[in-house]
Amino acid sequence: MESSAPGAWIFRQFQDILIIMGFSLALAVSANTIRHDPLPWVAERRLLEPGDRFPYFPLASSEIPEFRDYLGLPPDKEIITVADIQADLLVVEILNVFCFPCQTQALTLNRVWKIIEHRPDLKGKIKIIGIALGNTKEMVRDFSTDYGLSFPVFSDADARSEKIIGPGIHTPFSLYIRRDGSGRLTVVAGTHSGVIEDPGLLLKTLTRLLPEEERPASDIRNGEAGSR
Amino acid sequence: MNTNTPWTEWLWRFLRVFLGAVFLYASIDKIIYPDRFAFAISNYRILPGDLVNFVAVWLPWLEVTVGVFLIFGLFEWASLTLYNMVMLIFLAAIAINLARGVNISCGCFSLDPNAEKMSWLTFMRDLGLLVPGLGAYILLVRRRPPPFLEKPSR
Repeated sequence: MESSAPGAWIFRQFQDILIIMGFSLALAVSANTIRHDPLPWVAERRLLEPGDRFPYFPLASSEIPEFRDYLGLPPDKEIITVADIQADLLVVEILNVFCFPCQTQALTLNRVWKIIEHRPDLKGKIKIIGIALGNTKEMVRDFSTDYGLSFPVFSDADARSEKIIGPGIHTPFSLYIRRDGSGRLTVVAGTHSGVIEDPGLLLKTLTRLLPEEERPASDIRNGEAGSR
Repeated sequence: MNTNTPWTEWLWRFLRVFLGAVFLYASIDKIIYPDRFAFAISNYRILPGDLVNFVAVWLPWLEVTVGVFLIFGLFEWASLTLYNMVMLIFLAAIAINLARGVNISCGCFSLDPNAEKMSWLTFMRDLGLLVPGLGAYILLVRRRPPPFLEKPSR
């Protein structure tokens, strides 16, 4: 027999609501666990490491119109992600325009960019972008002009990088992103915290992260010689 | 007092299937792209950062559960109440950010990064989805009245 007291009825509805919420939570946990790209739970949030999947990080292509061709972006997309960029390996440099090591790193990357663009065996395979953590579009534009940067730098005025790349990120922080099985740039192939002042050393690191079939012949020969 | 008629019965069926379908449809993109949904939630700047991923994973499945329960007429009062509660939360979140003047995408039905930005039209659309949810209570009271509203039979 059902109780006719309003309190009892409301309590039963509340119980039903909890049952539905619990059921949906069980579904959510199971679904996230069996995904190939599960979202990290709070306790698992950490700085990205090699082998991780590069997370969703929308970037405004309108900030870098002169670099659309360089990145091979579709013409109609205002918001792009790293996966939209056409390359075999992408350097994502998290920097801040006011941090001195970041300025040094930007100059190193500029030199590397020039070497890549002058080498037919590397041109188009390795590309570079910067993400300016905590800087506005205007700051980024001034920074790129003052330092004569040849690669695109996106602003990250809301410091989203800290949440997306991981807690405790220190600029400059480099991520090297490689293609996955479907050909999209999603796999973190390597990371580096701090400045690399020698462009040759950085380039050597980058060419080694290229897929074997895309690596320059000279680099493969050097690698074989070095490994003996 | 059960004042259910065939007319109210069919209207209730239509409404619950419609509301359930709305939630199921809304959950599709969120389940496929949880990272995009997490980003959309963080854009609202209402939840603490640590809760964003949890809500991004859970909310779409809550929508699925409520949607399926509504369509199949399970836990009718509780499902409808959850539908209305979730819609109210969405409306509040949209209103807060429109009042703040933030230029973000709604993330309600599509998580396409190039989707249109949120506007008061978005708010009106969601309000238009809350009204039938609230109206459905009238049908539900007629169909399955709470026992304390039943007249004692002699």
